[in-house]
Amino acid sequence: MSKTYRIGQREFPATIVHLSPEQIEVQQDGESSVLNCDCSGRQLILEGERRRYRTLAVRQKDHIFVWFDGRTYDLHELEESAAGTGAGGSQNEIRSPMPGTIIKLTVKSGQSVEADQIVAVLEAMKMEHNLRAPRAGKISKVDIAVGQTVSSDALLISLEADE
Amino acid sequence: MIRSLLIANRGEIAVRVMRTARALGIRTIAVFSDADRDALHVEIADEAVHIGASPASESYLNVEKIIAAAREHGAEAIHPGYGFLSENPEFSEAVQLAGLTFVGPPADAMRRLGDKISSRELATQHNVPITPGALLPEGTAAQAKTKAEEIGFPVLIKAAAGGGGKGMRIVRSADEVEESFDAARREAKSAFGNDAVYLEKYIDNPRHVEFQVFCDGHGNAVHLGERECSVQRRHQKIIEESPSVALTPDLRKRMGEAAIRIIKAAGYVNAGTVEFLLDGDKFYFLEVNARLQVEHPVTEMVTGEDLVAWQLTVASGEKLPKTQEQIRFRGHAIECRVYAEDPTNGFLPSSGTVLRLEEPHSPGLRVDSGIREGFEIPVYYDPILSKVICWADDRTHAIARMRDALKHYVLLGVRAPLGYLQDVLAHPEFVKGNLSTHFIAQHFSEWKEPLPTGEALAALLAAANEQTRATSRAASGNGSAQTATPWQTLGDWRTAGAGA
Repeated sequence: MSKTYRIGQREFPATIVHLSPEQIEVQQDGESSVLNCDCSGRQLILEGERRRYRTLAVRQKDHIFVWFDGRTYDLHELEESAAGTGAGGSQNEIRSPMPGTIIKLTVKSGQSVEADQIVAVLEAMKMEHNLRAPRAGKISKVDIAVGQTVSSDALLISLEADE
Repeated sequence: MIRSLLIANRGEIAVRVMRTARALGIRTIAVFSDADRDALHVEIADEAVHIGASPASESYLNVEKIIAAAREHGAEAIHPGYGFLSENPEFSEAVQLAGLTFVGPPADAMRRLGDKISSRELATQHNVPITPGALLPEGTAAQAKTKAEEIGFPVLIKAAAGGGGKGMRIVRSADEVEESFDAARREAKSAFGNDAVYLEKYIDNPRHVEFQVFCDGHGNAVHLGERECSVQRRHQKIIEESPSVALTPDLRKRMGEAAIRIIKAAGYVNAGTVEFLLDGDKFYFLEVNARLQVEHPVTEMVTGEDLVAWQLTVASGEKLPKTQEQIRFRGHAIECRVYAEDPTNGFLPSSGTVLRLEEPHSPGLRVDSGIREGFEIPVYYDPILSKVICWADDRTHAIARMRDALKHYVLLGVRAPLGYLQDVLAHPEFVKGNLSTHFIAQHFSEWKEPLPTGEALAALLAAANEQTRATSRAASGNGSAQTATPWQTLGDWRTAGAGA
């Protein structure tokens, strides 16, 4: 999907596509880079053609701090145009984090939601998990009903893409 | 030796003092404000006393509460750290009056040295050079010219009554004196209603070089060499080192002796720092800092001495651990201060929570830190987070080691100038040792964090993208934590998403 990150005063539009769960293609400024991605530990290892990059990242509100190559960058995600579906579309989608049963649904298609608003509750492993909107927006589609059993990573609710 | 110590401070210095005290078998008592309930210094102390609300005036600056806490918890002595009450003679006095030991100089020595005019007088009496100057209350331009020639150009003409740069002129030759003198008088008159002006030697590119001194209560005094602290931003030191490349053995000896003269004359006891401006091989007394300095670890690294242990020894009434001849200097040490500030945004103080922390480790490296993961940096206090100090055989290797350490210092969630410091250390003029207090203004006013390009940039964006995915997945799966902090959500996601 297309994204624009702002770092300091500069903006970097990019298209980031998952070729597979472990492989990411980044198109930026007319160049394409394919990176193998290992995120099995605390850190995120990205391996390109030229070298291996060890990174650590955290998010604070709308800033992503990335420790990268000995420096810390503050990336601000500006907007997105929902080009991708599937693995890439997380900001537009609410997926099931684990297998379980939907025990509560608080939104309908066409409804506006705030970022972090609870949209559904999933019961799994005798625990209730609040599912939240990843951003503010309008619900475009609800694929679940109360009582429904869902598998891990199933698409539950979609948000309308931002203009 | 004292057996129990209350540390009237917070952050890295409180932690650092406690570490030495504990090594000496001294029971440590921390004090803390509301904002510091979860602070590192509270955790590592043997006992901790809540002394009030977050604003420093209600906690770390509250003399009564601190002394009450010391009494209640049976502390024999109080260490003030730096900042807060450390240079407050009333505090030193109040501690003594309470029957406790103050780990620092007596109040009268503090007073003698704390006042700019009286300390300059003391310096002059003891043959310690000060920046030459003269007050010209009713002088004429001709008198000013004679005086300026006596002092030597360049000179600074400034309003005696004022500040803020009003009526201030730098004069570089005798021809300019008359015009600048008249202009300075007019400006002084209109700004302050008083046209008296003051002439002072202007030092173009001074270095800031200070000497660590120590006195005991038995009349012994030594110095532990110098620290060069020329790398400053808006009068705040950011990088310090020892030794200074600008000192010859002869100059070091003369400056060290001058430092001891003034400190002895003031009736000083315990650790102190005598600051000088250095112009070529001429040095001028600036002031005395009557406390342990932020940058004391560079001296510890080159001498192998623990200055806090010395402080506690002297405060216990014992003699200095070493004589001047026994103090040895080896190698080179550098310190970088890590403040919570945003180098990409005018170095404004930055608050926030430490979401990820990995401190560097290597031989010859020391990190004096007051933070830990999950700690929210309070907005109430000095924004120093930690200090990275390294030692090597020589300056070149110390710079290399420091750059490597900063590169491997992971601190996420709070902005800190780790990349900026790396670039300062790599600057060719820094590497050559061509420093002055204007170094940062000259070379780093336009600094920007260099960005990766090509594949590296792609990897940076991919890393940010993966973090976003991780957070949104975790947020949708993490019911128990309301708006879970990112490090929590990230951790959860790693378990869930990566199929651990």
